Amino acid sequence: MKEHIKLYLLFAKQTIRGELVHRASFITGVIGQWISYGTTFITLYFLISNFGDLGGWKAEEVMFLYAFNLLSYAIAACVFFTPCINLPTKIRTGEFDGALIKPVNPFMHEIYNGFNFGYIGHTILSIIVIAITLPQTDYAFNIQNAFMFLIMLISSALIQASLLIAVSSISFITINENPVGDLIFRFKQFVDYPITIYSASIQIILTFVLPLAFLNFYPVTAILRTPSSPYLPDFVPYLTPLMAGLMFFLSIKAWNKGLSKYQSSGS
Amino acid sequence: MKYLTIAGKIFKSQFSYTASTVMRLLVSLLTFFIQINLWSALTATGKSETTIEDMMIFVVINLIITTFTSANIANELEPAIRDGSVANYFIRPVSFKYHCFSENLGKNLYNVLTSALPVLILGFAVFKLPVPNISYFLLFLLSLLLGCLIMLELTYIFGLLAFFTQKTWYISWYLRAFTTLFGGTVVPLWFYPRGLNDFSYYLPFRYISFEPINLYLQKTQLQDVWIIISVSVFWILLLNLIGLCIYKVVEKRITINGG
Repeated sequence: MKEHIKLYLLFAKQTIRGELVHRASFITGVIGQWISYGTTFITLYFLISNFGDLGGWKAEEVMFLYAFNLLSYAIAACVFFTPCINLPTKIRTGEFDGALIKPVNPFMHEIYNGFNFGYIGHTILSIIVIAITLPQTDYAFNIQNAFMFLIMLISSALIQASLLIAVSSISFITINENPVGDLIFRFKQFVDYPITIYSASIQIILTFVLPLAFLNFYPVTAILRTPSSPYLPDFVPYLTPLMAGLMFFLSIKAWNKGLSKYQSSGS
Repeated sequence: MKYLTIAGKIFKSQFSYTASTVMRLLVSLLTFFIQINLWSALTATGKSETTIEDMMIFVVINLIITTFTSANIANELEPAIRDGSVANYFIRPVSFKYHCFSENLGKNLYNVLTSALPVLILGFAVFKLPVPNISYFLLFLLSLLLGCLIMLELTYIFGLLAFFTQKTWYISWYLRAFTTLFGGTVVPLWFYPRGLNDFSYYLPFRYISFEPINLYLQKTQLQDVWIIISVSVFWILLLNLIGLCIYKVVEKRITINGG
């Protein structure tokens, strides 16, 4: 394990160096992301403060909800985004076959080569938004709550990662881009807002069928101790770590299952 | 005429991408569904005079305009600039600008018909959406046309920036942020604080879709319409001029390697 981490950090350092060759370009890109996401946050604030609340949530709470999702995604994506998104292309071009003859596990091989430094912008912005909005909520700072925050953030990041991994494993079989995967990522729009704005059936689907509510809604209700979905028992938010472990485990299984079915495209 | 032929060819070529057409339709239906829930939850608070029907009009018209004007010229140019094939644009007997436009026109028209129009029809079927009287409707169409032209000029100007930056992936982020913030495409400007709303009058973005929507909803006084129309025309001319100047600079300083 220690060896793996050491090796990964070495690769990551190289990636960061490569990224910073075009320093001006990189910084303009990060500022672009800040302006773009900053706009989302500001307009969200204007909108909800105009109406008072959204599905029982104050503007600051919704902004926190959105920022939490962005932060956990950024954490997961800097490790898993590039390996997962590039996999279909690598399979189609035959480049992936290279990973099969290396003396490391193919999954780990992809991870090593896929660190993405671009998410530093998302990370900084979402931390700033959390730092501004969290004190505006009823959140009380103490060791217990800080621990809860950390657990929930890690769980959420694991779920984000498992979505990326599960979707990419489909391409072992389709040998191409998969529109189903794109659609799943688009479904994440559902949790841009508290799920209390949807009907009971949609809330249940977002909990058990496509459990996107565990990305931010349940973690945030557990952190802020605000009321969760009125249609589901009160302990559901605390299932988040369990859900995260399960989904991550299943996604790795799906990836390996896909790999075992894999036949090179031959090119 | 030749530009229409290009647009037509691109339009026809889109028919071969069935999977992505279905995908795009599903995505726009999904977005529409989420927007309905969002605005129902908000208008249910009863804190604003805005009705859910007004907001559905807002969502649908924005969807149509963004689909019709969506273009990422910078991203399309990047590989061509890197490998030198951009030279083709300069030697063909077509204007670079209108060539870019007609390519996107063909694609966007297809997307409007296959993914935005169904949402519009659904919107009218599900909700009792308001229809303006004939004079407002004609004025709406006119400002819609001008709004699309403003957006096209803007995407062209931002697209030309590809010649000056090494990478282009972030250029569209800036344009999208400005149109969202100052154009009120996601949250209508009437929910903005006074100062920011006033400031948006000095920029072209609100004339793209927000003013057309105001006309459709008959929120604009008839005697003020000529101001909106003339300001829109002013922006089209100014942006056209800016685009021309940038293009001249590009023509002068471009060096094409390889090929």
